[in-house]
Amino acid sequence: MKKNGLKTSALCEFLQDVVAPQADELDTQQSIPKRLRDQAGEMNLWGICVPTEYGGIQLNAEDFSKVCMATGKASGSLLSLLTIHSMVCAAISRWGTKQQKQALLPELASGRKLAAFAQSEPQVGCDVANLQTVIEKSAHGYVINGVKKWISGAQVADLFLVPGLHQGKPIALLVERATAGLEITAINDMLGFRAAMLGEITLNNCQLSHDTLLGSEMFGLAQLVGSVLDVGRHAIACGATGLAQACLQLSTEYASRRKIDGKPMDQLQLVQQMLSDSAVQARAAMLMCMDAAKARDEGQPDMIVKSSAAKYFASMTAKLAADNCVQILGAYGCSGESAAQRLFRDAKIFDIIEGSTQIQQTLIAGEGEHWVFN
Amino acid sequence: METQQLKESLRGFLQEYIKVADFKDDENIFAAKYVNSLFVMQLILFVEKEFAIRVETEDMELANFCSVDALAAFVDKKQSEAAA
Repeated sequence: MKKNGLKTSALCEFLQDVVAPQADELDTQQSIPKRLRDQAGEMNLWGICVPTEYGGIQLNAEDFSKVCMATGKASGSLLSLLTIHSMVCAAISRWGTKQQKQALLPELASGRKLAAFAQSEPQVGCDVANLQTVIEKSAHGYVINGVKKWISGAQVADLFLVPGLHQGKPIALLVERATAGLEITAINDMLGFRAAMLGEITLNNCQLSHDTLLGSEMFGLAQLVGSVLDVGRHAIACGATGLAQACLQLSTEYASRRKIDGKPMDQLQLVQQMLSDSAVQARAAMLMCMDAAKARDEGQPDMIVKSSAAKYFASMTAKLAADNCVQILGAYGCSGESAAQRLFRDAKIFDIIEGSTQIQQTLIAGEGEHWVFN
Repeated sequence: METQQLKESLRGFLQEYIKVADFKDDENIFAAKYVNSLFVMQLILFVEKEFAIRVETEDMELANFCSVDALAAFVDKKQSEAAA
């Protein structure tokens, strides 16, 4: 994939100039309105993981990372929608049949259809091998039964990639919103990412054709983890880095104009300590994301652990930078008059979604040390 | 690439993950639990980059990835198809 600097720059400008100023309002309203989703579509945001032959602008990993950082800096909720949509687009682009690609990718690239990844369940998060959703063979294809919970974008998504167990092994099906037996209940009032329009999905004897299977029955788990969750982890790592950048920007700006004893706050050493911690960690997180992006662009096998490590570090960085930001802004940072409280709440979500910090630690430790020195 | 060279390259990669030094070329690395099915994705990334092939969904069979011999035969077949 080639670099697409012009489209990347235009998207980043759109995110900064159009989305970021609305982020607090979106958070309060707990939704991203269709008007803004359509605007994002016009800017090709929904097509960044779709090949050009299917109407997308498929960015390479470096540019994809920049867009995810800019999205995370502008709005964690929009980043959440972009992440799940991109995960499904990437999965179809990588493992879809020609028919699936032709039927779905142009719609997804334009944003006429939005996609969501419906993995989590009331009793299962990342543990794909122990999902309770059951997929059985039927005369015409598959029947799926189960409940999915905490699904970002569920309130508005048109297409769901739904993993479940088939004969004890995870596989994933592409399920249209209009499928008979599929019901969606909105989940609101989350701690952070409040505009990500979460929902619970009940799948009650949903009948699906053979061609809804994405990937293989044999290695469904590897395909899911390798090409779907991995893309999500990378997007979230970059988004968390973007949030840390937003916190640093807000902290620096405030500390330069707020005076204590006639001196700007940023002249105080203890404030400088917080600013420098946030700055250095945000920089390190960005470099880890770009290092992982380079591995992805080169198709290196260690790209998976590098994105996981970037997600682990960037989500901790987001929490630190948000904590410092609220601390520096004081009461103002705790109030609705500042974005700091939204950033603080959103920062915690990065610690949990697309594999919690503890899941990343397990994965990183299991990889040994060889990737560290490459 | 000669079959022996191909196998050495595959063994070199697998050896980074498999801690047993003397696994055999015809040994099923999944059945022996040297690696789990999640490792397949890293294996795919490696063979795609190293041997300039593209792994498709229809290739996702255990028979193609289960041993050094199987992998070598699979890569050889994909390269022959691409050259044809």
